[in-house]
Amino acid sequence: MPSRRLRFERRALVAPCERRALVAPALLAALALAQLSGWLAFGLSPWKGGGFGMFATNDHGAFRSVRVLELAAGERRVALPDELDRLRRHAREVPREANLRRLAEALRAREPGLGALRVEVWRTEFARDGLAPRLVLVAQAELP
Amino acid sequence: MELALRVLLLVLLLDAPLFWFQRVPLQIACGLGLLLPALARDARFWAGLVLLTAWPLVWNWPFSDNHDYLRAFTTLAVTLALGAREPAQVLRTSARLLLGGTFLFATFWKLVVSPDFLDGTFFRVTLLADPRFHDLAVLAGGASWETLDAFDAALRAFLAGRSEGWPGAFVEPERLRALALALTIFTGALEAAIAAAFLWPRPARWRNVLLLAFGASTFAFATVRGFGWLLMALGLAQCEADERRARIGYVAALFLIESYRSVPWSRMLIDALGLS
Repeated sequence: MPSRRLRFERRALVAPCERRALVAPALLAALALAQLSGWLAFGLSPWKGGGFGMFATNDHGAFRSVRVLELAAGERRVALPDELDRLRRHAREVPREANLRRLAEALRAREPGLGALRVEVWRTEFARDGLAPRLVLVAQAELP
Repeated sequence: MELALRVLLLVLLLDAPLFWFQRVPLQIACGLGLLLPALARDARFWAGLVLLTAWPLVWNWPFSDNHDYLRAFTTLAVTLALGAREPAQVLRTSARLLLGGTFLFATFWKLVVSPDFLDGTFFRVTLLADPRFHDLAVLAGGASWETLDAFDAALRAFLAGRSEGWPGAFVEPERLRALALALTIFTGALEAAIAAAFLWPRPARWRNVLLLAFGASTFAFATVRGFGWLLMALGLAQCEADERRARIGYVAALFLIESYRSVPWSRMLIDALGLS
C-alpha cells in the first residue's frame, strides 16, 4: 500500500491533460527526428529542416560548397550561372542524389554541349589545433 | 491566456515570413486578431494562421529557419487549445512541451551529435567568421580587427582553392579560445537545463529563470530576433496563473531582445573602450 506522499507524487507525475495538448509537441519531435534521419541518410544540413541543429556545428551553408565537374576530357570545373542559384543552394542543403542530378540536368539543359557531369557537395571542417580548414565530401552524383 | 494570445499575434505580425506574398496575408490576419479580441479567441481564426504559417515551410523548403517551424507548431497548439474544455491549461502544457522539445533537440545536436561543438571549435570559428559575433570576439576574446580580417582572408583563399593561403597572417588569440570554451560550457549547460526544466512533468519555478536568462544572454549577440520573441511568447503562454512576475519578465525580455537588435550597444562599448 503506497504511502499518501507517494500516491500524491505518482498522480502529479502523470497529471491528466487533454491529449490535444500533446499534438503540436509530438509533431515537433517527429519532424526533428526526421531531420536527424535526413542528416544521417543523405547529409541534410544540420541547420535546416526543423531539427534545431542551428548554432551546434560549423556544417552549414556558409561552409558548404557545390562543385560541378565535366568528366569528358579529364575533369574540368563548370561555373554555375546565377539562374541556377536556387537549385545549387537546394543541393547544398539537401544533397540527395536526386537533387544533385536535377542541378546537373538543369545545367545540361542550358549548355547542351556539356559531356558527362559530376556534382559534388563539400563541407568544411576545422582542425582543433590552429583551425586549419579542410574539405570533406558530403555527397556526389554523376549524370552520364 | 489573453495576454499570451495577444503577444503571440504581435510576434507573428512583426516576424512574418520573408516573401511578401507569405508575409502580407499573415500580417493582415494578425492585425485583425489584435484589433478584434473575439477573433483572437476563435479556434477557426487560429486554424487559418496554421495554414498561413505552414505553407511557407513547404514553399521555401529547405531554406526555412528552425523557428519558422516552431512558429507553425505554436499556431497549431493555440488552435487545438482554443477548442479544448480548458483552453488555458492545454495551451500551458503545449507551450511548455514545445519549449522543452526545442531545447531537447538543440541540446542533442550540441552535446551528442556535433563533435565540433563539444571541443569548442564551433564557437572559435563562429567568433571569427560570423559578423554577428565579431563585437564579442573583440570585447571579450582579445581579437583585433586585423585578426578578424586575417582569418577572413585566409578562409576565403582556402575556399577559393588556394590552400597555400592558410593561415596567412592569421594567429588565433589565446583569450579567444578561452571565450569559446566558456561559451560552449555556458550554452550547452543552459540549454540542457532548460530542456530538463520544461520537460519535467510538474512545473518547476526555476524554469522561467532559465529561459529568461537564455533570452537575456543569447540574443545579445545572436540577433535572431524572431526566434527570441517566439521563445519568450511561448514562455509567457506556459506560465501558471499565479506566476505574475515571470509574465512580466517575459514581456520585458521581448523588449530587451528588440533593443539588442536596434541599439548598437556592443559597438558603442567598443568605441568607449577605444577598441574600434
